[in-house]
Amino acid sequence: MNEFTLKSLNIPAKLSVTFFLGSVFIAVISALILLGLVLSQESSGFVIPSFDGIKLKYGTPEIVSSMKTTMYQHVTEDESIVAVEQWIIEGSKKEDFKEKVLPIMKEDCTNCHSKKSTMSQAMTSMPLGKYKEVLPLTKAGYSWKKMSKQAHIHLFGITVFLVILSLLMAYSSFLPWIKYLLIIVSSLSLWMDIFSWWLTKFFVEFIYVIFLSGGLMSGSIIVMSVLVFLDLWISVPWISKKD
Amino acid sequence: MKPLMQILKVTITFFLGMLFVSNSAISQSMELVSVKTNESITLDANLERAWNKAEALEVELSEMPYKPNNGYEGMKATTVTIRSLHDAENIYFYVQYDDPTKSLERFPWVKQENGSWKQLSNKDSTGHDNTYYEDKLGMYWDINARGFKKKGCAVSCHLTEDGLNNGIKDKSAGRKYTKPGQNIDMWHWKGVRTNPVGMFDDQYVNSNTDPKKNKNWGRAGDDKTGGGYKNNVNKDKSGPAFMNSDNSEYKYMVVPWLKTKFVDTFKAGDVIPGIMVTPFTGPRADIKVKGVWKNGVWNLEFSRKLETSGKQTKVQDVQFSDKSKSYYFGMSVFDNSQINHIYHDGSIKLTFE
Repeated sequence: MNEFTLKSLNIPAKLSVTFFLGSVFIAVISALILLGLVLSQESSGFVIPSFDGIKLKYGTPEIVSSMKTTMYQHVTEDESIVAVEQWIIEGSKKEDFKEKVLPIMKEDCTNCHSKKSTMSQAMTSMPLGKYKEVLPLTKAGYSWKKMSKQAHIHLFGITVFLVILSLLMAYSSFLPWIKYLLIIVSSLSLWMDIFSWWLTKFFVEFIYVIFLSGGLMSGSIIVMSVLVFLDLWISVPWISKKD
Repeated sequence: MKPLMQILKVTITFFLGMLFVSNSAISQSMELVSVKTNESITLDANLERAWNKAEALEVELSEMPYKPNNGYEGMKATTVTIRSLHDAENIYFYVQYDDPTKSLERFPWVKQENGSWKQLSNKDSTGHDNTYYEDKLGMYWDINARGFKKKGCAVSCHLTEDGLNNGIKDKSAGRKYTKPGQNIDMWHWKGVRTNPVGMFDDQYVNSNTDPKKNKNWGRAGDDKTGGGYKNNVNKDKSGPAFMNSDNSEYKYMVVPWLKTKFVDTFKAGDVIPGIMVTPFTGPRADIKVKGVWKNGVWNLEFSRKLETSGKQTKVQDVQFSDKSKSYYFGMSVFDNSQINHIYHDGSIKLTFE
């Protein structure tokens, strides 16, 4: 009995797989663009995030991370960021909040970040005018709640298309070691990436793991998409099994 | 291995190519270049040939500071197109922006059925009007306000929270003031109160937060030796004090060349201006303008000396004294609103060519 391969699919089936692969490819590129822009201060283009950018998101108190990145345009003076960071390092003490932090919040934040703000960019769900409102944002990295939310959303979502892509790869004509490598790397790096988001909170070195695993995951997904597409329509020389 | 290397090389080249193409796309920057001209510029709200060499900058205004509690019918967004020229003495600007309504009906007097006169207004909970007002344009120029280059006008914007602004009870939606020792030059075009006499209201923003010293907190007019605008009301506040001898062109403002004492020969529904305007004299009159509304677009052609004079110029006026430097400003549009306005984030850089 001949082993089933993607080449046995009829044309309509190959077309539907082709469109699926195209969507996956575009989605991965879009996700990488978004990640690059979110982790940098750029507003357009394909930006490779720096280690500092990743460290800001996953290993820095959220309020400091925001002041340095997405909210930087609203911070009057860089010294204000240093002052807030220093207050956090010194223990985020309530008795120091009014003198050291509140004036900065009033100057740069509470026009939008207040419960009754009516500005176009009002963030009434995240007021920053009181100590108890700022305190939760002084913790570094993902909280338990945020971690579990982000993890399950990403795992459910990515796994759905990754299992399809992996199965397509499994039934391609490529050499076994190529299939094993790409299927295992893509899934393992997904797990590594997710867990590293949280572990960076405790061990800042895991930033490198985020960088590596993110690159491996997106790279292996892109490579699988391209190779499976090629295998559908042509015989890819040298890396395909001989008949 | 060789074929695999070939595939890898192609793939890497492809992605590197994407990086190059994508990163070479310049993110939108707001820079206005004022081009040198040898031609004479006439302030007539027409784009003459001289303006052809000035590159237009488009700025989208889409942010608003508050929502009036009794409704707001004005624009929530518009795009301002601005150009600039300069010669040896003056700097010129040509501003255009879409505004479907020409709003000049500022607190008009209307004769009632019973023969009395009523001055119309519809103030909101903050004490400001968005129904019977005028179209305006504001430009803030940085003099020495820290953070202006990054934040623009927002460095001086302080919203009232829970009825308090800077610890002081206040019912206004917000106030403009800077930090001590820091100032902003404010160029305030007013469709009713200054445009008919060919001027902006040249004002400035300082750090005052004492309403007893200045009811407008940090916003104040530059020094003047005369002129200005005044509410058109008689002694017992029952009606207008003056009117125009001919109401056809200036329905909503009493202008000096037509001003005459009010004589009531009117019928119910007739309108008399609620304000009297005269040209400023002195530093407050620094900015000259011709503003015309045509086909749903305001066209403002205005000029000011590159360097102004006066005792308080250091704190009241930006001086374009060094053409190798950059100067930062912000713009906002008021559509028939006393304080509500649409604006942009950040600042715009002006350079000279």
